[in-house]
Amino acid sequence: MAQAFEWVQAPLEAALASMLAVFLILSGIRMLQRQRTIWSVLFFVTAVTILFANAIILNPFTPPGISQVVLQFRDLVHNFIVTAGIRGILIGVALGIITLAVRVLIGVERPYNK
Amino acid sequence: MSLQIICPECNTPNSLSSKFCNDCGARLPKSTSVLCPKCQSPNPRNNFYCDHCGSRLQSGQPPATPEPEKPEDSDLPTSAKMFSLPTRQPGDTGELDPNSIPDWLTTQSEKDTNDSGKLPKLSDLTPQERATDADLPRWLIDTDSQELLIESPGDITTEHFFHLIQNINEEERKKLSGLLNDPAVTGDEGANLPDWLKGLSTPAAPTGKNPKPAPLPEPEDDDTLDWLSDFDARQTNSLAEPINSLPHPEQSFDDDDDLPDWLSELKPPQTELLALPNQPEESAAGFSEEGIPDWMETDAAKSAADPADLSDWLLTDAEMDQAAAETIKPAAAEAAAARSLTDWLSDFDAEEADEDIFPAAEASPIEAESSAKETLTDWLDDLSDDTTDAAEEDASTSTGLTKFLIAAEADETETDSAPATGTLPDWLLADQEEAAPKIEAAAPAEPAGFDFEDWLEDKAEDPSVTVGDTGPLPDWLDDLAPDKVNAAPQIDSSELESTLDDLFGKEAIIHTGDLDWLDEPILPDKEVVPAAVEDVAQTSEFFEEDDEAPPDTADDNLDWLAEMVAFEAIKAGQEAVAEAEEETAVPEFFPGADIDWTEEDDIVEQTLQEAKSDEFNIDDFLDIDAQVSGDWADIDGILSGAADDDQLPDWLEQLEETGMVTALSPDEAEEEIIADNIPDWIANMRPDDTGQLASVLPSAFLVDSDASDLLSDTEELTAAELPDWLDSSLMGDRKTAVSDSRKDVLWLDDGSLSEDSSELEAILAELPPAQAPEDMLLKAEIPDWLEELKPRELKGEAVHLAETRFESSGPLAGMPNTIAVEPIIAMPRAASALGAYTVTTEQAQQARLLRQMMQEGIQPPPAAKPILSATRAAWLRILVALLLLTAVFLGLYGPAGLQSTPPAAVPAPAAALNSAVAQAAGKPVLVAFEYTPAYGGELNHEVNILLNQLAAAGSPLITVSQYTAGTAVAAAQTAAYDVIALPLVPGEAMGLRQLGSCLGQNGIVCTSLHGHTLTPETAQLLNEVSLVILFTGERSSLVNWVEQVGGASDVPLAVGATQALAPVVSPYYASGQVTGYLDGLPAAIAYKNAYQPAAETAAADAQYGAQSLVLLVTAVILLIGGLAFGLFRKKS
Repeated sequence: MAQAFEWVQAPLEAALASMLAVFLILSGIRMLQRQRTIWSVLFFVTAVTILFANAIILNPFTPPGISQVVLQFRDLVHNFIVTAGIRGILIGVALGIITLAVRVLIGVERPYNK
Repeated sequence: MSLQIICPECNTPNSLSSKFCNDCGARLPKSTSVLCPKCQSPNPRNNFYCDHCGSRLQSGQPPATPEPEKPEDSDLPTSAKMFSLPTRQPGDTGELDPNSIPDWLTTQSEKDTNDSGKLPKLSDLTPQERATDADLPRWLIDTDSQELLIESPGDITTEHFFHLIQNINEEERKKLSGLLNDPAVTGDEGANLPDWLKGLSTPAAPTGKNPKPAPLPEPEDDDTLDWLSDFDARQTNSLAEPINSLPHPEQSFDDDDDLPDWLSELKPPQTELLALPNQPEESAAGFSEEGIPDWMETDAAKSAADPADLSDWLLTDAEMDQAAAETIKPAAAEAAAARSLTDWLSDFDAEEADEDIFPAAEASPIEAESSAKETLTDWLDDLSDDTTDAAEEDASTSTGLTKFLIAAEADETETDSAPATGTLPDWLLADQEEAAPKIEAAAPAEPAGFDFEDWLEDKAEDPSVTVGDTGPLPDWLDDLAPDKVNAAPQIDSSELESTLDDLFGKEAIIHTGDLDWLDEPILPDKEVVPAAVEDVAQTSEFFEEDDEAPPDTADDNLDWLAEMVAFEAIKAGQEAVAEAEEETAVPEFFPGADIDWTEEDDIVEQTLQEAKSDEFNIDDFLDIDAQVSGDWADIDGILSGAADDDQLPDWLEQLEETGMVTALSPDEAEEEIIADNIPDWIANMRPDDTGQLASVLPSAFLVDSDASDLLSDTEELTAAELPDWLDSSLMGDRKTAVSDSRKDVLWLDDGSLSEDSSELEAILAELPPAQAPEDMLLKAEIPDWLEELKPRELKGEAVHLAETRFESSGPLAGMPNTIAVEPIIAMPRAASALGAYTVTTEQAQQARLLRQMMQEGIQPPPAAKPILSATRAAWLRILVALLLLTAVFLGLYGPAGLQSTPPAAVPAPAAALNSAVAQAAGKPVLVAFEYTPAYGGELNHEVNILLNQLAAAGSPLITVSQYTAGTAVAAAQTAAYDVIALPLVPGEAMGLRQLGSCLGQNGIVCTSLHGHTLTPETAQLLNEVSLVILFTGERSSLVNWVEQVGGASDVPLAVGATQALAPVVSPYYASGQVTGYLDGLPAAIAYKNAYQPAAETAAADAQYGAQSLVLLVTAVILLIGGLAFGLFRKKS
């Protein structure tokens, strides 16, 4: 059983995850073809920058000064922009849960009666 | 006036009360309504008062005069104010002359100006409450008594006003008398005055003296009607006077003139008719005065309370006893009484009164006759003159009255023994007969009741009475006679035949079977029939002489009167008939009450037997049971009177002509049917075998033989004796009728038809051929379009459709003969400056698309020319994949120069994680594997690093997972360690919450978890867990663990997440909910290098180098691809 899991399920799931990387790349490439907006451009720039930051900075061929700048930029995006977005999502989820709980208590929402 | 407001924006009509348009919402102008002058609110035009403030609306210009201040405390109800009419300004009298306003009104108005026109309350007008009467009108104040002049009577009646007039003073009485005597006011002889005022005007007019007012009538008994008591108090007083002192009936008649006409009509008509002024007082004592109105009592007293004076409807059984005793009256009084009759009473009571009165005047028949003449009405006077002239030969019939009465009178004169009682009609005779013995016992000298049958009996016994007895029967009685005769006793047919044979011989015999339609209505009494035949014979003789009768008697009078005169003229000839009648027709049972019905029944049975033997079915029209009914008494009396020849009514006289009272066989009757005794047209009217229509339409159903007979015997028609009912219905004059009938049947004459047949045929030949009725109708022209709609007859053959068109596109594609949809989608137009709508480009495209779909069908969009062909796109995908694979291989197995070096600095979260692991050294650590093998390439390195560290610190490991894949990963990753595996935790957040309650030093030791019993050792380890390390790549798992487990216990939570999940973990770490974390392979390599340098991480390092190269390649590909597609993006 453990062999089947190790040699079947684990490689398949890894392949699927890798495919995600490939399709994300392709989608990023064609994004500007489909919808050329400022937000798409921003998304494209951010993605390329983060990728370069994680790759180039770690690359031994990259100058250390550039690597630090890129790392700071990555940390800025990661710690503030992305974290803010994630927190906003979490807050929204929390408010939604509270609202849903109240609605269920007062009988307005009957999720199991449909 | 418009009832709607038109919106200026959209021209939509709105109701008057609308402020905004119901369609577009625009504000409606206020000018369409009436603005309130006070609050400026709009009101409908038909409002008198404002709906908002209640003030009066005055449209148009402001009022010329200031609006009167409305009293706030007005007593008027709201409804009165709302619906009051426009008010008049103070002092504005309009068309009235100010001088004509009464002083008190002018004064009052001036005084009450400040009082807002309020009238004083009624309670304030009392002398006790009022200190002054200056503000009252003069007519309301009695200066003498200081009391209100007018007291409202509880019941306003005539006596109330009568009392007022009587109580007036002398001066006012003179004024009133002068006023009542003024012809201009009262009219001629006070015709305009009411009856109760005539009494006041009449005495004062000629004498000029003021008569004392009559005393106020005392309250009458309850039984007396007030209006009757008030009406004639003087007559009421007369009841107290002795009856002997009563005025003469004529005087009483004069007094009746005071009565209004309507009351005179209501007065019983016969009160004066039979009034006896000298009636003994004790006679009136028999009447009960109670319950009789005054005028009735008065009349009764004046007329000696004769019960006979009362009409039938007033007579009760008890009163009739008295009335029967008062039947003899002097002729003079009767004459006076007769003059007092109203016209209609004279018409009606002439016969009854005469027959009641004049028999009583047996002592002086001549005076009675003369007085009777005076009592006659005009028409009877004329009759009297004529009949007197005609009957001067016979003194007994010269009274001018109906002859049967005269006959009765004469009979009474001769016999001087027949009681003359009858003032009562027949229907009262029953009671009369019962009361008669009593009356006879009380007053034997007076005649007892009058019996009609007795009267007839007397006439039957007296031959002189029989003359003209049929004359008095009026037409209405003649009409009733057949019905009565229908109920006559059965006839003895054999006796009838013998009698007819004796009288007329065989020539006059007609088979009774053919004449049963005539037999039925006139079947007389068996003894009467011969007498009737005699009458018929006499009648025929009379009619033969009728043409020679004087014109004044035959033409100027009514028919029955003329007949009556004629009967009188042939009186002498009837005496012989009367003798024969005595021999043959006088029945044995005629003497009234001595009828022997048993004998009659025997006769009936005998008659029936004989009739059967003669093949004459008398049972068809005789009902034996009905013959013995009590109604026979009356008809016996009538027919007994009709025993005389001339007493027969007209309809019985037809019997002579028809000769119906025979009993011939049918064969003989066929020969005799056309005899001269009956007109043919009458014979044709009888129902026969051909059907009853022949009797209804004789001329139309005449057969040729009948027509010829009819035409050939016109003289017979002329001389035919027609009954009155036939005369009146068919023709006024007999000769005219015959000529008319000749005209009617002339076209049926065979000779004329035969002569004109050829000519008729010629005329008919020239006529165009007749068309069938349906051909005469115009044929309608059906238009073509309607013909197409005409339903076709289904013949089983398939209808071939000329063209079958299949839908090529759209949802109905493939269906045949679809109908094109009407284009209902309008194309958008360019928005105008005033338009509220703007059409965007997208809307225009959608509309265009819809229109294209509806009209043109769905057309495939033009194929967009891709930038890259499918082959090129496929090759691009392959290229990208190859590049990535190349980078992976180069990073793993490429030169060292292509591999990235791990970062030297350890991230802060990783350092915090290391601190937490160090603090949990030696203590149980719960490790959660919440990831699948897909995340294994990144998380397995973190697991290995941390498990090695925990194992090195001697911390017992407890593994748990929410996913089945997680348990497997846990088993695989902890295979080298001694761990305690908890069962699967279901329920996600709730399951984690239960698990979190079992962690830490909270005093709760969970012996079971999710249905699984935990060993005491496991439960104790759970209770002693000091660190929870979560390995996950899913956000939900991270959230559930942080919120449920971290919140339920104080156990620190460390997270080993993927690099992509780092942004999710970072907020929890910043908030302290997560003690520390490792985010991906770079953090794990840095953590290993910093805290576990001895650990084997070669695979991790190679994987990190490959990942770095792949990320670099990916960034390059994205950059190249984005730029390429961005620059060459196809323009839409």
